[in-house]
Amino acid sequence: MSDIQVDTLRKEFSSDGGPIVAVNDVSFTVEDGEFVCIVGPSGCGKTTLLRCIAGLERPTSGSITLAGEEVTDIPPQNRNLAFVFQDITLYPHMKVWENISYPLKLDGVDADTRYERAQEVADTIQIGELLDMYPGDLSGGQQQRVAIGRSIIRSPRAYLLDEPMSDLDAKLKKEMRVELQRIQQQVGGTMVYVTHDQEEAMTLSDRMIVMDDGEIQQFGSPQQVYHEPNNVFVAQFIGSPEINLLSATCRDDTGGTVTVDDTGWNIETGIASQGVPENVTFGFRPRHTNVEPVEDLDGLGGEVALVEAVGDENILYIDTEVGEIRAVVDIERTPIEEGDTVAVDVERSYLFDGATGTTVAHSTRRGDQPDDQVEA
Amino acid sequence: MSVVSDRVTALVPTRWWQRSNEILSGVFEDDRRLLAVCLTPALALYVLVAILPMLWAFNLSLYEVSTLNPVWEWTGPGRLVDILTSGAFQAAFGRSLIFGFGSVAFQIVVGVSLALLVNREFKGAVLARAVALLPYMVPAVAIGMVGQFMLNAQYGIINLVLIRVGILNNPVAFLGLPETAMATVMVVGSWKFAVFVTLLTLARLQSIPENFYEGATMCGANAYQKFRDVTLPRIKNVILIAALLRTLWMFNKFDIIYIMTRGGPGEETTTIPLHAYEVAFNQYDLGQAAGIAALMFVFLALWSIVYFRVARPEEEVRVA
Repeated sequence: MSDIQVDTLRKEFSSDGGPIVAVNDVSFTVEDGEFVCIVGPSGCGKTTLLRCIAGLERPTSGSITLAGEEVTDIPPQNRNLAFVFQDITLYPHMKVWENISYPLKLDGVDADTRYERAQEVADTIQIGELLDMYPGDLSGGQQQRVAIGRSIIRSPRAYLLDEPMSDLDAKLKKEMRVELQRIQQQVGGTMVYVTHDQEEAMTLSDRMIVMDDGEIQQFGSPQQVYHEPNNVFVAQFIGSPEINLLSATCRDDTGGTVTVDDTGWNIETGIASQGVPENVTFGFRPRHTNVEPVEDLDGLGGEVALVEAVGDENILYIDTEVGEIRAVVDIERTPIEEGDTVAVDVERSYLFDGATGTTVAHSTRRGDQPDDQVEA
Repeated sequence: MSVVSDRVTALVPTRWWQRSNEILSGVFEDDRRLLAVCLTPALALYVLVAILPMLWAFNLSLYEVSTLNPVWEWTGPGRLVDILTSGAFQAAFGRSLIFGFGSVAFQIVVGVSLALLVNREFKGAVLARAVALLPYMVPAVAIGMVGQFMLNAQYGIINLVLIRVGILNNPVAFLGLPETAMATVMVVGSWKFAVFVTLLTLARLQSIPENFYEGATMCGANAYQKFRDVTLPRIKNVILIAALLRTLWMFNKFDIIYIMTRGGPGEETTTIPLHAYEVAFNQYDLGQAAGIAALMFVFLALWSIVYFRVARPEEEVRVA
């Protein structure tokens, strides 16, 4: 097991319209035994970054160090890294045990020993009874388990996983997520996991890297990323339903009060900062709201256009003068129906620089407890 | 639709349209009728050009028939035994084995290597693939004639080059010497058909997903191991099929050998088909020639059956 250091890594692809920068001078360190997710929208460079670490792509510049050993110029087969692909690359002509123990075959281990080792690994990932079947006879979830089995059999330096669950259905995904965490605890080991699914990243990671446009937007624990986003992009990408963002004006530089543009709504943010610019984006998460039905609306709020029931929560889509606002309410405590006029009280606010999108301040007001649960 | 086709449609009565639609959909819904409709033309053609002549040849082999005499004289199945025990037939059969299996071995090795080569991604790969497949378009007659020219001892380019490079001291009549004639015919007759193997193999190679190789790389496989564990299992069956087809066709090969050597020098390159030709048109013994052909057919049929039993090329490799 080992840590992974990535230093000013850059990967450009050539195209007809000049080079495309997929990974733009990215630096970070994944600690030994850490589970790190790289999350971002499609085309943000996350898979390219992972393939560079694996050695399947040659970086344009920069370096990759595994456990202190620089591997940038070492071919992938000699890096001793395990890679689980999005499209499960099992060999259809090999039985499950042969697939799992394929890395050992390459090391020249005899068939009997390989079968035994495959049996051990298969028991760990709970597919012990499938050893003599062919991959074509297995379900998607079983196939992905076999692929994971193949990656853990040789005790690699680190595991690299490229959206391994994106082809599985939602229920299976949840099961496999738990399974993967169990396997990681059992075998230990550094894991780098690429996904476009922020929920997956939030639940799996020790720390997560949020990427956009080839650059790291934020690297931190799921708590940090959720509660203290670096910028508008991270705030928007992480958390579901999506954060509400309204352009606003801040009259004093403390950020204590903002006026939502095109309205007369003055909102107390509870922020006591300094140097807040005049032109800001005011943000608040749908879960950090109090919603009350009102007769006459005076301030932030509007008519409830849609109520989406998710378990014992309701997601409200509220039409306001400045567009749609989302709020999450408890079904029993706040019975609200479509067509009601509601006022929205913001419990916790974020202020982003209106021009650059960088976070300038966020409140630590009401409802902010240290053990506040991360809702993904 | 154009104005013209609109007019044409308008001329056809609606009832007729409906009726033909009903008949057609009836055919397509009934599997057995569909089968009959689709199979009959091919089957009729096959019977006409393959089965009937074959039966006719079998029948012919039981008679004494001269090319110049219309009277058929019954000799019976003993004729086939006579052919089998004749020295000329046995010698020709031995040469057929050498020519057939030698050619196929050459074609498989060259064909598969060529396929692996042009399957790689490089600048101009598409052009290279096209060029590699070109020899298959060249007629056997042209290959034979050009081969003769190039191999000629007096003015052939091959002798010239070999002497210039220093491999040979004196020109060699490759097609005229008993030691070299068979090997030379095999090589010249095979390079075109190696492309057939390339064609089949390349199609299969291109269907292997790239991530299989990446997966193997991440497991630690080197280039040879990737070939052994990913490529070979995928192309094994197509190679077996190509080998069977090529063996059958090379055993029956007549044109290229006849053009280049006429079976010579002496009898060095007289394989079964050339032997049969000689018996029919030089010795004017059509009956015996038909007997040779019939025996050849029996041998190839047996060979195919054994081959399918042993090699099992029809067993599809698991791809999913």
